Amino acid sequence: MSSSPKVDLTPEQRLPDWANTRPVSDRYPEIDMGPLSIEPYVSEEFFELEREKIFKKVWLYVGRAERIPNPGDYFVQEIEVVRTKKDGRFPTFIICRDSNGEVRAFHNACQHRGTTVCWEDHENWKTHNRKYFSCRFHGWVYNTDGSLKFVPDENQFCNLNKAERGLRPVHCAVWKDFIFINVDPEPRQTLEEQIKPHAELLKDFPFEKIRKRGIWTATVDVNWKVAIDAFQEGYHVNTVHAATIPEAFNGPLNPNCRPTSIRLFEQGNRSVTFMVSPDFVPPETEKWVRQRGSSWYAAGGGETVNQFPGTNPDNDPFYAFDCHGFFPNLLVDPYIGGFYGHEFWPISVNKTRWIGSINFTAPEKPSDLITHEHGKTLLRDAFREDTVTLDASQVGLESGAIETTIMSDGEMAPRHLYNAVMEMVNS
Amino acid sequence: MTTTATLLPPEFADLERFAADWIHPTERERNAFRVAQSIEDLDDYYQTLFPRMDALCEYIDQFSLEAMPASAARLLRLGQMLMEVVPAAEVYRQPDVPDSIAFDRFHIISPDDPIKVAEN
Repeated sequence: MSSSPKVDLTPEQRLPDWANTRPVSDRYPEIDMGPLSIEPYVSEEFFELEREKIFKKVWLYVGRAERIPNPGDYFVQEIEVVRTKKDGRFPTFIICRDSNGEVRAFHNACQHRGTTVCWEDHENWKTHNRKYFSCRFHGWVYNTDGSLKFVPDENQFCNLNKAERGLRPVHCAVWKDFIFINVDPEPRQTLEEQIKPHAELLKDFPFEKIRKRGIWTATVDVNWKVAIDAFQEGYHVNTVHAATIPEAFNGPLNPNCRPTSIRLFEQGNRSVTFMVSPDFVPPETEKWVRQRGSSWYAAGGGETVNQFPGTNPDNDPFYAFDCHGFFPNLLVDPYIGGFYGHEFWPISVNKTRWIGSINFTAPEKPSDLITHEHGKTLLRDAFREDTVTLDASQVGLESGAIETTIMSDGEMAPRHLYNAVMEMVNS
Repeated sequence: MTTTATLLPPEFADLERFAADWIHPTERERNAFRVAQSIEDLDDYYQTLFPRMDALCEYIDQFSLEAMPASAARLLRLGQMLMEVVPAAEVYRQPDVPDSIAFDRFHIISPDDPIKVAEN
């Protein structure tokens, strides 16, 4: 076992005093640790309130700027939850880099008669490039900054003011290459204000050197909050991940995979740190990968745990990774050498589009693509386990057999999200 | 006398028997291939490839990501396929993840590798 030589304590002493305390709820005594009504997970009326009061009001992450590196690059993003009517069609948005290099977002609707301008499939994850956006219906042409450039047979229109018929912009802001949009015509706060605690914790994390390497998606029959919660606690690891990573996190020191520290912030933001088990003996290939570079949880405690900037904010001794919960629907999980993450896009009260991804320090040599593939495969297969629980949770929640859930100290991140949603919906 | 064209560099003739079927350029294809094999075939691949990985990496790292000869790129794909196979062979002892969401509900849309393969 490796341990920091600077600290003269036993491994047990360097972890929270779980025998005598509930470290998170003791630190936040104002939080009611009682049962929670399941209504926010199953009520269609509640879901409508979430759509109106949360998703149509806040900044939503839509993708990394690395996806659109060049002028004219764009992708189309469908965002089901910001539809205008309860059972309405799902709107799409154009996220692009204009000819001057600025990242912009537009409603994907021609200002002639409303037709969708860019028809690309938003789920294929391809980047496209155009000099102009041209509507397939009547050929109206827009510049990449959204302005209307050309109208066929223009002199047959009366009172057409081209300056007023550009693509409708959507508020768009970029933090460390994370692109966010806000469909509220007048956002009540800036992106910086909304994500402030994470931006401070992650200010030194080298996002600019890191590239997206693995992306996976599944549409699951579950409420969006239930889906997020499955990825922001460690309590499930012992059972759900018994087949893929049976001993990596939950060894003798921490058999129930409790978080080693949790930070709760305003507006539903939260940050959780998980540990690796120092007793974990990796399989042969993982040992080989660790010798050549890193895996996605390769630290194993010891001297390396604080050497990657922007990670391990509480100096936890057996650091594995942090889970930054950006309210409402984004998780960013930095680790030593990269970050992984999740997006959760609500479709209905019990249907969610999940996107998981992993991002590594940009490869420098061909064999880096092999060691990255190791971490990518392990994480993807673990996500295959996480996602199998989701439908089953919703079936039980909708069965009438349970009125409340109960969440433990280590499940404080799910509870904090729940409380923040309740506060916004009731505001 | 006829000669058989080889797909891999001559130093890796021992891996040539995998070159026809086990080289796939994307994660999606590699994963689909893995789950369609028997655990015996995955074990055979694992046991053959793993002892050769240091040599394989040393060979492909002679080249830059921007200019990989096709034969080196094939070796890279074989190495990536080993990483795809590893958890099944080392841990699960079956081709697909036990107790996991149905294979066809989980979509792999990972970006292509950032390499350029030279024509040859």
